[in-house]
Amino acid sequence: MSRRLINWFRFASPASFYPLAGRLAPWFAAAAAIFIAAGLFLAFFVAPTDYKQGEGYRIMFVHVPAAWMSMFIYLVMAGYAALGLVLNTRLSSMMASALAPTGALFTFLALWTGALWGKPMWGTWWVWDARLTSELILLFLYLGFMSLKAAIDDPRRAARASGLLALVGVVNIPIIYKSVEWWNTLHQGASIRFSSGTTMEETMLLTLVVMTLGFWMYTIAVALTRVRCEILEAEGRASWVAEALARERGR
Amino acid sequence: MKLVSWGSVAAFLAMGGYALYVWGSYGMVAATLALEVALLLRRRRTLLRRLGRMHRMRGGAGHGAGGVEGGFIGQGER
Amino acid sequence: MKPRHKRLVFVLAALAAFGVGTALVLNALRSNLLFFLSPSQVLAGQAPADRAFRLGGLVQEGSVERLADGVTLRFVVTDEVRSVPVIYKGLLPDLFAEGQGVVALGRLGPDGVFRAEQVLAKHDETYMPPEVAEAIERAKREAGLQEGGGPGLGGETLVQEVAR
Repeated sequence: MSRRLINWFRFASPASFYPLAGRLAPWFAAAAAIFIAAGLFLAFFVAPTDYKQGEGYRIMFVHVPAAWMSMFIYLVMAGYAALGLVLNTRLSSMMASALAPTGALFTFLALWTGALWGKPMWGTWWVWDARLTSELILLFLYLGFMSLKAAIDDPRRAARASGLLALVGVVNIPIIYKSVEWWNTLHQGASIRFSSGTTMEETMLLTLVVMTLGFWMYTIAVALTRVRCEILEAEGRASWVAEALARERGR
Repeated sequence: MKLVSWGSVAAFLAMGGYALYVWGSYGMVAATLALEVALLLRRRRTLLRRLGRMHRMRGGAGHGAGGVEGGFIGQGER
Repeated sequence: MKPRHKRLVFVLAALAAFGVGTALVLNALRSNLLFFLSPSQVLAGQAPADRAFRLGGLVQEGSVERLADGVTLRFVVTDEVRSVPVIYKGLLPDLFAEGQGVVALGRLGPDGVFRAEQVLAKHDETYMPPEVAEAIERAKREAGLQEGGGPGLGGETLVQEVAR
């Protein structure tokens, strides 16, 4: 291992990350509030009525960002889990577990809002098509990750087992994303493609982007706060914790 | 920027007949995000209380720490 | 090998194994996990005779009619190559319309009529304000293109999908 990498490890130690996360979290929380407020305004007062679905399509502005976040967060979580497995850094595993509950929440929200959108438009709350089923599997992956981590007492073994599960589950992400192309599904195809532009009016697209940014900021703020809890739970006895806490109280 | 003309608050709330579905979606998002934040802050509060008790019992370490041996921790703070 | 390298190899091997496994499963599923069959597939005899299946396609323009009892609906589902007549009694989703994509669950009778127990609307990924939709419609009419449809009204993507 090179010297630079070792220094980097030291920088990414829980003791130095704890105060850093504490300083960053409020900024991300503020950004989240601003973006989500702007997104709501766009969603209800700027985005035009849809020619076919009327006002009902406005569910899209929380459904699509939530579904995107459910997949993004999983990839980031699996990335941290991989880092934790390969380099054996504790902070990476902690970041992975700090992200999991929020990822599970957005997956649940994607399914919930999807059901409420599907009922009036498709005529059903739920169908076992490939898109919906693979998103449900994603929810189970998050829950499996969290319960596996909680079920094993030894924190290092818990991190290794849950990290491996997180990595294996990554195969589900391209399946979710491509499901509407690979199979006949009731769910429609993607409105936004990397290759051929969008099939969506511009302000609708802007609303989706702003809302997604808001959810991202929210996720970062929550994950940073949660990783601080994880650090405190793991290292509560260390002497640096007492000092860091006293310093934060004094601020 | 052209704003949507809802006409009345009642029309806005009715969401073109999709009130149940639209507000059911946005309501669930708002409720669960708020719940997550509340649970997280509660977790942090109880954790800090427990750690504070523990550190006090071990001899008041940390109170008024001047960062003399803090090393790289929290440089630039205070 | 250092322990760290050993771990890396282990993780990569596990990943590769699962990747290959999933690819094989997916490949097997690919031919079976069809959510619905198109009229062409049904008429080619791919539909199960003894159990319910889903029929997907477009509601043919001008084919929707209510039968004398006032509740039973009769329409034709087409993939623009072949078509299957459907009868259905029950609630319809908001997006059900002529020219629109539908997925119906039911059984094919010996008379070649599909008796649906449930009709779902399949919509496409196009979102736009009504004025834009009208403008496109008008432009299409003026250009002397075929009737109805509009820009990708659930139809084109569905037909492409079915054609695969």
